[in-house]
Amino acid sequence: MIQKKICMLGSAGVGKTSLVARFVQGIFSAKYLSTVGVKIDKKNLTVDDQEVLLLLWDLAGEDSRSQVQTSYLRGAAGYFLVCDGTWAESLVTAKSIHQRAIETVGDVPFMLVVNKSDLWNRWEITAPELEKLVADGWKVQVTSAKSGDGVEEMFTKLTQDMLRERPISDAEAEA
Amino acid sequence: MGSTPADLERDSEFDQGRDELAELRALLLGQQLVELEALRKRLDDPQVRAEELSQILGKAVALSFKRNRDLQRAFNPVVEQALKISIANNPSILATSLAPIIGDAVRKAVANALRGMVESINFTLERSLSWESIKWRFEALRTGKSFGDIVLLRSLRYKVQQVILIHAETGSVLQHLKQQTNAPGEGIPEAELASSMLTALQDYARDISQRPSQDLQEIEMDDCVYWVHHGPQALLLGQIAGAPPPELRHVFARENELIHREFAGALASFSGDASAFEGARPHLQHCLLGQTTAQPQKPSRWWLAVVSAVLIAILALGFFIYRRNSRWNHYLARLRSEPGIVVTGAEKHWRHFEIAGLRDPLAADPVKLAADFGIEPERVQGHFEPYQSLDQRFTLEREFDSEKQQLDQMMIMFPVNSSAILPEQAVRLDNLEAHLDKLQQAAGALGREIHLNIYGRADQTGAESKNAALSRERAERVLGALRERGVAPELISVVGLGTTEPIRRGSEAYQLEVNRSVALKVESQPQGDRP
Repeated sequence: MIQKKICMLGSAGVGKTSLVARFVQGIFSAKYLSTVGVKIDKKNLTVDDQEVLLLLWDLAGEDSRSQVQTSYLRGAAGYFLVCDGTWAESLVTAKSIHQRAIETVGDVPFMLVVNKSDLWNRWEITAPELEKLVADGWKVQVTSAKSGDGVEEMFTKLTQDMLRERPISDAEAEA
Repeated sequence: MGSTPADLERDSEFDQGRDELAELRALLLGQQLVELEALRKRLDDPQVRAEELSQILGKAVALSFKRNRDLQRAFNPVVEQALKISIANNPSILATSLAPIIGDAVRKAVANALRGMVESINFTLERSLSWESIKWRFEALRTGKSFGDIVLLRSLRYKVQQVILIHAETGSVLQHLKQQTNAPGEGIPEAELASSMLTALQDYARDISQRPSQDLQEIEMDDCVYWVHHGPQALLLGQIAGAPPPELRHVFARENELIHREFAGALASFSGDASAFEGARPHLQHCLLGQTTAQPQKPSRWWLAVVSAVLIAILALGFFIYRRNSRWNHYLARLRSEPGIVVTGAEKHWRHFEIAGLRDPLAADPVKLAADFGIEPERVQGHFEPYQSLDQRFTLEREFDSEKQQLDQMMIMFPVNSSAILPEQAVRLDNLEAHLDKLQQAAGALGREIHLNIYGRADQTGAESKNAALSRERAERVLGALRERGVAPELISVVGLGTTEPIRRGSEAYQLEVNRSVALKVESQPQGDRP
């Protein structure tokens, strides 16, 4: 079975942990997040007839006092940049984290997740902003951790991207 | 060569045609021509080409790498050659670049080696003198295996419950093996999460200690310990119950190094598919030590009973041997201090004792003495030669016996029908008195009291009533004579036997003569016993 490490990145309070909780039945207490700065869960997924074990590294959110510990990104096959639709600043933070993530893991698949679609009437992030990012090649998914909308899709889509990105193995290289 | 007017006309027509064609081309392809010209310039000008290439080279290389390894192969000799040239030109450049990594790697290797060594020394010291270690050394000698192997095999103090091979970078589980079922995916619940969490903790520990090259070596829990061996690309995590010996670290290191060697390619290109590491299972199996001996074994009850019985038997035997020796020694000491006994040899046998020596007949019986010390007399064989001890007690005893014998044999003879002491008998009385005196002295020294019985007799002639009086009279005469010689009368009793107990029976003259006499009998007893 293929194993993939995925990181959840974003500002504190945008709903990263809630998104993961929507998706998996975790066994580790959220206490880890505040102490060690990371909480890990796993989820078995079948994408394009391929069984995949996702290891979800939920990294403590970034705020004015602490930055994301990029050492936890090491070895990630992909990552989510999570922001809160009702909070424009969180998109700025997501972009900044993206820059640092590239420095650590390089050019791996990622996805911008704009959470809190259930509060769409209070959104600060505008559609043109998101369209511009899509035009730049970003994958964008709108979700609601509260209702579950878009949650399955975000994981499935990123997993598909990661599987496509799979570098050739030695056997394939020798052929 | 001159031209004819016809030729000139043809030329002029041709030129006109060409101009028209050029005009038509310019009209139809004007823009493309300009672009073609620019393209030609770009291709011809190396400076422009270099600039353009530099912009896309990175992406092109990355793409090529994704597609296949041709570029890598092509680069291989170039990079090698470049490194060679660089080192030849200026070795310090490469040395300076590598120094921080090499320093760190060497430090880590040395620290690991020292750590292993210190643990080994501690452990060796702990068990070097134990019965177990002697047993293991003997087994190592016997089987030709190394002592370390025997220790690992026989140490009941630990058990590797499971081993997980973890990809260092992603924290993914590459292979997982546990004791007993050996089925993958069982054991630590959520092995994938545990290994991810371990790498996360490792990162965390490095961050908080500000030492990016430090490794998390060990996690201790109440009932087990997790040991981690760090390879460059994979970690080997072992869950161990009990107290593992340091040799186990060497096993983890050895197997992880072998895995790195065998799976170098798979480790480098790992992208989540662990199936390539199926072949690493035998290496993990080698780490699952202690499986033959299972849990730290408690000695079985049967074994415990046997050991207890043997111990009790040994203790009991020891006690009996000690008691036997102690009794024997006391007995010998007593014999050696016993007057009249000289011990010249003593031997202890499994079932009996033998003593040889000299013994005064008056001395105590050495064999009977054994009973006083808890030794059965029948187990003692005594070989004693008689001798006369110069011990004062024995000389006194002998003197006493001799005097007593003399007195008991002494007789005072009387004429027919008379109790008169004849002169030659008076000499005997003097003699008697002297012996009595000596006897008294010896008795005093020996703590005895003596009493002298004087028995008067008469011959069988004459009337019996007269004979009784006569015999009594004769005895009293002797008493009187002794009194005169200073003998205390309370020491002496007189008895007239008449003819009732004749010394000789018969009516011949010599038989009658010996009965006209007074005989003596000495009695002795310890002082104070007299009623």
